[in-house]
Amino acid sequence: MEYIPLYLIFIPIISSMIIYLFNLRIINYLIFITQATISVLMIKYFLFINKNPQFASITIGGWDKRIGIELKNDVYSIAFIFLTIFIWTIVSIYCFDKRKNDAKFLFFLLFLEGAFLALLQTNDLFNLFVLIEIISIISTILIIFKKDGFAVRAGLYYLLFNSIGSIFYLLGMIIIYNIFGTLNIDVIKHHIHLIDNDLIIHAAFILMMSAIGVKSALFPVFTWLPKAHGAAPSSISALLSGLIVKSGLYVMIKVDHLFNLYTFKEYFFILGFFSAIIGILFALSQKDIKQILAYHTISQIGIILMGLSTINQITFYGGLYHIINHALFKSLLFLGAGMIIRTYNIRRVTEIRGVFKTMPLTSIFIIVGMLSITGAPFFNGFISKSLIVHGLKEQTFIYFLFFIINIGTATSFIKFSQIFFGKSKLKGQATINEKIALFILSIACITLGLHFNYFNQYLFHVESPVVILDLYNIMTYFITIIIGFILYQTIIKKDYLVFKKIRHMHITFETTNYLLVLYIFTMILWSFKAL
Amino acid sequence: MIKKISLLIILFIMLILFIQMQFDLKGYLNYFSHEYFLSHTYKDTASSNIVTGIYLDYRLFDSIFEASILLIVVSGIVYMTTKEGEENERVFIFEKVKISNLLTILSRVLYPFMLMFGVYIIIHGHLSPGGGFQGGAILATAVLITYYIDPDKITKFSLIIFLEKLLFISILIISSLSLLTKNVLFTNFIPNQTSNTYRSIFLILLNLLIGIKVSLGLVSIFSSFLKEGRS
Repeated sequence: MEYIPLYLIFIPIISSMIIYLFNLRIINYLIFITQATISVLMIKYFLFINKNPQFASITIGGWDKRIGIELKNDVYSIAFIFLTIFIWTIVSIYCFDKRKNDAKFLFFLLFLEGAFLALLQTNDLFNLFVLIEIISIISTILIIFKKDGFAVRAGLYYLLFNSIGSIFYLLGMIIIYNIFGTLNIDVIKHHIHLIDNDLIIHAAFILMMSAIGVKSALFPVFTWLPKAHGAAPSSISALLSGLIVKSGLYVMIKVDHLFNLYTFKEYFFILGFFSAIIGILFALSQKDIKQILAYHTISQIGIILMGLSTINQITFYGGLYHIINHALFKSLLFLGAGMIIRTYNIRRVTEIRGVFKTMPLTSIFIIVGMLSITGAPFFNGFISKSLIVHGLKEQTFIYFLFFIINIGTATSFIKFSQIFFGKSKLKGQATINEKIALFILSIACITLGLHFNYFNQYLFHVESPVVILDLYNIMTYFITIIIGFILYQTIIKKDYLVFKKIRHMHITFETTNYLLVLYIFTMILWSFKAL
Repeated sequence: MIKKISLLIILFIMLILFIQMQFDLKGYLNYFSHEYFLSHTYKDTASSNIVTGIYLDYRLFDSIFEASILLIVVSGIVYMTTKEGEENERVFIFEKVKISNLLTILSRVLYPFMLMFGVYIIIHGHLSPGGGFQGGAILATAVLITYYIDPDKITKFSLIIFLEKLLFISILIISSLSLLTKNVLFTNFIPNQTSNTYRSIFLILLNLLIGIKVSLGLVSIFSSFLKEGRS
């Protein structure tokens, strides 16, 4: 029973090997058996842990936990594991028609799942580093999977830049290992207040955070994300935007709890706001349907970061909840966009017309996703955004900033919705598997929106005392939509020169690295506040 | 220009801070793991080489993932370099380059020694510096030197990749055998009471498997790049 964490990691890995070795069509169905097995195991483990919390951590090999590697599950990791298994099942249902005979694709997909599940559970800094590297490499291969020039360039850009980031993580980890003589996160957390030298602690924190910033595409270092997510196959984009980007945020929560530095809370709040605004600005200027969605990932990550870096508990859980919700609706939107692109063979928002006529069912699912991302009442995005806003209501200025972000998101998706109108002679080519995948995701969006209290209690063990569905919030949403519509009609539709400039802005690899250095330097400057 | 100058200034400030931190660090060093490994490794893991003791016993979980990185990279590169339907058009790089007789003969002389040295590094991994990863790299160079002797020697390319995956699964199986004997995963499966000579069988076995796996992986990476040669 207590070894289920390890089975969760190695069942996908071994079945991926079997799929690769046999390379048979029948064997490829193993992917669904694997998903079913690990979901059953996870549910069993969840019930077991609730009864016996002392088994939540195991040390591999039975060594002292300061020496060996410890796997540990807490409320966050369990929620993330459920989410991971869910999204992976959806993606494998979605892409199975296309990839039925592609054993290699399924091999990488399943191996990535095993590595990701390991990342969520490990409680060891070096193990975390190894797993981050594996995840970057497999993601690169999956991005390049189409083998065309654009994809290869985007994939290598992603790999190079993320490797540079990981090196900073390694440096920070070496400092920590030197001071504490161990790599176990829990042990370090117990002893970290004994170190009275701020310079060392801040240096380690800044180095680790710069890696995490690259990994989760924060404001100055986000340039790899739209390239990679735009170039990847749609099912992989859904996976990358929904989950893999969140691995950075997940590690960030861990590192933040480890260091417990209050000085940087404000910094990351501001950074989150800038990520959100810049993401929206770029999204408004784009015309490529996948690029729009990719830039929205950046802006939503900004919102999550704003939620996570406040001291207010409810806002923090709002941020966590938004991670889950964003994974659901963003993968829904990406998968839907993939189907549209395949039918129309063009990716420009201004040229795709009449989606509602050609694919009515798919359009309804995509509209569910759009309502969720803009934060419509009764959908999941509304809940988490309201939870985040709840803690900020007293600070009028910050509330106003949040309102601007919401208007931007609404404007951008009003622009996106132009694809539904008009006429088209094409025939929809959605397969039943893809429809099932989208259907499950949209049902999940609505269920999480209606019964969020139940989920919060069961997964995070917190009660949310706020009444969220009040008239005030609903009115705010409609006002946001109206302002967004007016903004779209008056400004965005005219496609001013500013937006053209932003659209054609080309950021070289050199500049990206310069931005990374700047990002680290601003953190150093900020840390002088505490010294 | 402004970018370059500001970059230089920023990097200089960061360097100064980093050096200052290095000086500060001296007062805070913690030697817990250092002393633990020095005093316990031989008793715990039956390995005289502390590094081998760490990567094959204390942190075997990490090593499995490190081995899998190579596996992923190999399958990724092989996938990237193969193009459907163009198999016959591709030319080996060695068919174009003329290899001098001197190099061929020297390679023939060196080949057995390199093989022997690689196997030695792998098998003695728990006694002297070395181990599966390092020995595997040496073995791979030994195998690759056959390209100088006879370019057509390595032909069964898919077999190499098949074997590599199989070896990874067997590494997993051997390292998880301890579940049956000790009821813990990923450690030495031979009970602690037996003498150290017998316990090191586990280390030799794992080192050998890792070594062969690494060498096969490197050979397949190198060969797939050779096959890619411009036609």
